[in-house]
Amino acid sequence: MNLTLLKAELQKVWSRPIFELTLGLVFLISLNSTSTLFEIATQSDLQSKFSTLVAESFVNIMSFQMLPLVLFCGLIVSLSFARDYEQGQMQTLLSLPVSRASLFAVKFAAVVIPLALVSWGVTVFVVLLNFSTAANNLVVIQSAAWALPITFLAVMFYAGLAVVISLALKRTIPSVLTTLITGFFVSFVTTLRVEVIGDIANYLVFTPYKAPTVALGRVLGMRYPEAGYENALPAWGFLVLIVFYALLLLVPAYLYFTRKFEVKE
Amino acid sequence: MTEFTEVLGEFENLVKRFNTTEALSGLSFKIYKGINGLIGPNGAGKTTTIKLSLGLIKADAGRAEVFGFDCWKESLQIRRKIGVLYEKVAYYDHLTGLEHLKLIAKLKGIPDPAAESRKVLRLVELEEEAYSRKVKGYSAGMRQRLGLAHALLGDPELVILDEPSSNLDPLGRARVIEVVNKLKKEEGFSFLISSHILPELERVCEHVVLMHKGKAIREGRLEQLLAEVAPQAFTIKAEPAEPLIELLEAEECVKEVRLDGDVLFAVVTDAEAFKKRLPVLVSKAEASLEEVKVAGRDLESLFKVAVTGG
Repeated sequence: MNLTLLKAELQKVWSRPIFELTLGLVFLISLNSTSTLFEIATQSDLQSKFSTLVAESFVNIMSFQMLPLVLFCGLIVSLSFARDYEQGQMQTLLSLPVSRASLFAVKFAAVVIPLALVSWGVTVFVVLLNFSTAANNLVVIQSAAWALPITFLAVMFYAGLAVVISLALKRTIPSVLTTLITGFFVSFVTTLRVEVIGDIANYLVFTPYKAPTVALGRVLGMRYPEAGYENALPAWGFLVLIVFYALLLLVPAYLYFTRKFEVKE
Repeated sequence: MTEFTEVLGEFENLVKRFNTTEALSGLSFKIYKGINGLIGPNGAGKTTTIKLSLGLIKADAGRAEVFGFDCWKESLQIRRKIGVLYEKVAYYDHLTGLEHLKLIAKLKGIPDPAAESRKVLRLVELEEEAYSRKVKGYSAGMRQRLGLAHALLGDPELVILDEPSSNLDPLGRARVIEVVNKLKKEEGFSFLISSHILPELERVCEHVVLMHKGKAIREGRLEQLLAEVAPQAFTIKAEPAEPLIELLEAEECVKEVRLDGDVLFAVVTDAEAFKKRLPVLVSKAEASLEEVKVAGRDLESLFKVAVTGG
């Protein structure tokens, strides 16, 4: 990957107020998601339930962060790909002696890496706020270590989706709107219960929206109801599933960009 | 005078369609070492040709090679040897002019990016105080000059300028032309300049390609092409013009007549016969002849003649 170009793209994509807004919103939502847990934790026998509480805390924060992540991912990817196309920056970059593969990787990484790091960093920070006495505890470190790649994979799926939309529409506003609407729709669908949509609701744990949090819960040893579909796959099965989702749209988007993409306007 | 022997690029029977519109319909021409002009009205296919030469779009049919490399499959090799300034100038606006050029110089693999960036900024005569100003604060003229500097980084073997002065006022245009002329003479750069503003190209181009509806309708040394035009085109001022147009159109020696404002532009096949017939036709049309001139030896006349197939 071209680090010089990556640095320039990072500065451009995360210029004010995008970074501040992302960080602020993710932080607020993360704090909000842990308040109940904090009360329970303080009233319970902290040591005996520590592992479970930490795991639940990570999963809970990640679950709450999913919607803002989806929305910001769509917004920032659209700004990076569609706006660049519209304003002529894409043709300027594609006219330089930089390979298309490298340019795609840079533009993708410039969105995914900071977004995943913000999400993960805020999660770890909030967990540490909750369990401030346990900063060196192995459970927290282990949970944080698992949360990092899983967050990356989750963000990669939504970034891939947003890239596909941006490359197809090639217009900033329609791309932003389509990715936001898609994000809201995906989020809404996963809130549907068995009472509303029947048994299908149980399968929602396998969707790209839910699978990362279930994967994290499973690898951290969280217990789900015996009959729950969360137990239908082993922990590594969920990990494979989210790796598959991460690549599902990214690979076609990459192949299209490097082999077929044209700057027609 | 430049001898057009060294071919830098070659395009043969290029076809490119965008949905139902055919942007290029069998375009063939060559780019030579020196200053090449790509001339044509808006929609002639000039920008499409430039994008195609850099591998930004793929031809539906035909052969496109620059420096012997296929423009789509080996565009990276081509882009290493080319500098380009597009009509739509878009850069990293959050950087200063100097920072932007240093970034591009690094991407081009230039050993001393800072020194090279300062060199090209001096070449395009951008004021030194602008070096440290963010690009988003630049005027249209400054952006255009920064764009030219961007295109010149690393002494490219060919510099492509797509409508380099379309966003500029007359002074700005003249300045761009001056800079191009100077760079050709003093630095030996080769250019491919596309424009629909013909007088400006006339001042710099040595080899021109006239494009119309996605095809090259004329190609050659500018002087040579201009020499062919003069006896073939006339401008006529007559009052009223309409009856005369009808009569001229019926004449065998007249290929085409067009009314440009209040001036008739006639392309003829036999200038001597036309000169003899014109007074007769004027009197037949009961018009008064105010002025007859052989059309100027300029690109505009050349283009008008070429479009009519003269």
